[in-house]
Amino acid sequence: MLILAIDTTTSVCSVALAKDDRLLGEISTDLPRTHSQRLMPMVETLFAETATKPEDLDLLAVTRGPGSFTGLRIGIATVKGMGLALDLPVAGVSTLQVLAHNFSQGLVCPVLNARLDQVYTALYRSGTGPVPENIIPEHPASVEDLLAELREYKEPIWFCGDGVDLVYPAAVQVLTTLVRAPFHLNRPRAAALADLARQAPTCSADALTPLYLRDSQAEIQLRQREKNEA
Amino acid sequence: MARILAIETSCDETAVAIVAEGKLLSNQVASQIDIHARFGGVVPEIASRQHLLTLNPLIRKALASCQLGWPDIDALAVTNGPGLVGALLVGVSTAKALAWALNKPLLAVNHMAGHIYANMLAGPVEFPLVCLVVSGGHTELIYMERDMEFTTLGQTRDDAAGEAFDKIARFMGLPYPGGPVLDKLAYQGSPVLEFPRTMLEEGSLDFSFSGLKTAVMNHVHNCRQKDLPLNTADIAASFQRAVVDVLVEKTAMAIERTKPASLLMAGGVAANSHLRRGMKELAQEKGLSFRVPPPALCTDNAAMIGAAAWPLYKAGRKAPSSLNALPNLGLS
Ligand SMILES: [Zn+2]
Repeated sequence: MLILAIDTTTSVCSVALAKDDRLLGEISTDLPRTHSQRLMPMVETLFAETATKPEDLDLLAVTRGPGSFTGLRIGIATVKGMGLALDLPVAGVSTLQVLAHNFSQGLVCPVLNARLDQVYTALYRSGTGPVPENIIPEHPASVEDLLAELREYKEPIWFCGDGVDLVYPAAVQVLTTLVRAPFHLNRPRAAALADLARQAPTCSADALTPLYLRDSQAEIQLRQREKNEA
Repeated sequence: MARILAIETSCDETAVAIVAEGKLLSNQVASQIDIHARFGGVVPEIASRQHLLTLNPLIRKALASCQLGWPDIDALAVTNGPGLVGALLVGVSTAKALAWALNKPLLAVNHMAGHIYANMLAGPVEFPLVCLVVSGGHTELIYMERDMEFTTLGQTRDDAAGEAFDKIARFMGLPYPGGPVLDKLAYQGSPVLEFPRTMLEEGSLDFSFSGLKTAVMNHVHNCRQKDLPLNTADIAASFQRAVVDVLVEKTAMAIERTKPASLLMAGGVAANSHLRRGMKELAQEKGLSFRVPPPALCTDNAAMIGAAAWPLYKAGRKAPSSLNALPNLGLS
């Protein structure tokens, strides 16, 4: 089974190609320039280096969020287009679970900068099975609320993701044991996504939906206005 | 017979079309007007979200509507600007993925070129030509010596004509979207009110509609304050007459200056019936052939993108896989 995995939900742009239980190749960058310019040339390089053709693929995998709204749409639209052209199933996986899969053991708390003084977060336990076990579901939270949720856990917690800088200074004050991920484990990797996709449920390219975890600002403001008027 | 599948997602219409050598085979538009009506205008983030959900099924529908499959498609075309960047990116990412997976050429089309080329779906036109492009975001006089070569003769310095229509309509409390409503309302009134026609400095082919917009708003405001009855039909007719007068007069100047063989009009506001009549009369008076797309092809659609992609395909002007969405992409 040949899997192409794509992640563009954060500042990282990552693509990986896996065949059965072997990672054939992975390219990851964490650079400013937009994913729109970078993604397809990276896919082309990966396929050229591994002498693979699009028709050889069996499954497409993508991080469906949370993350940057524009970023996750670039990845999902790309995978939807590929799935439509090649008639392939798609596995959409949570960005936070992909981050947690960087660790083989223990509690993992991935945090992504959600702006508006919030992070997108969840809690996983790695090492109990082939995929990280979800303990607290994905949700947006303030740093304060997140730390309140984590206080009851008395074992070491790995922190990873682009929101670590927001959480860590306050977390050190409150939590007894916490570990900050080194940089090679601190960002989503398409290789981890490809591995998770092997055991994830799949759907058609058309049915794949993003995981925003937050409505648009206009929606939030309109609801607020309607509530005030009522 | 080269067939191009074209995608357009620059604003609030998700659109897909199949065009065979400049001839329209399928034209699918999924409008988001109802979704944005609650907000009184297009919300970029909501438009982007909607494009992502709508585009794949719409592509399938376009193929199915003319019993075609992927082997029958020779190239992919997509709008890569100008427009809302997040909305554009959905179409651009999808088109690039399709082109890569199918190993077919990708063609990048300027949205404004698309509007102009909607005219070419009715058959070839005679060059050189002058085209008045009027929409919610643009008011431009374009000169074309030959295929895909654009010179901007004049453009708006403030509001686009369509923008002025929308703002006035909203100010008068008309339902969204305001342009078509105002057009209809104008038929029930007479242009009895004197609103300014801004011509700018001598010889300029640029436009300015902010003065007119302010004058109409002041008039409405005065009537409301003095408790006078507000004759919305007369206001609509007078405002519209002023806009049409300016557009026609500037176009006449552009014709004098460039001596074209034909006159074209394009863009969402080109669906306005009063403007269509004014421009047709101008072409007759100057002895030029006149072309304007049917109203359904004046507003945003992908048929026009497929039409503008055809000369690019013929010339082998393929876009790279690093193609980006460019919100401020210019014509010339
Ligand atoms: Zn347009």
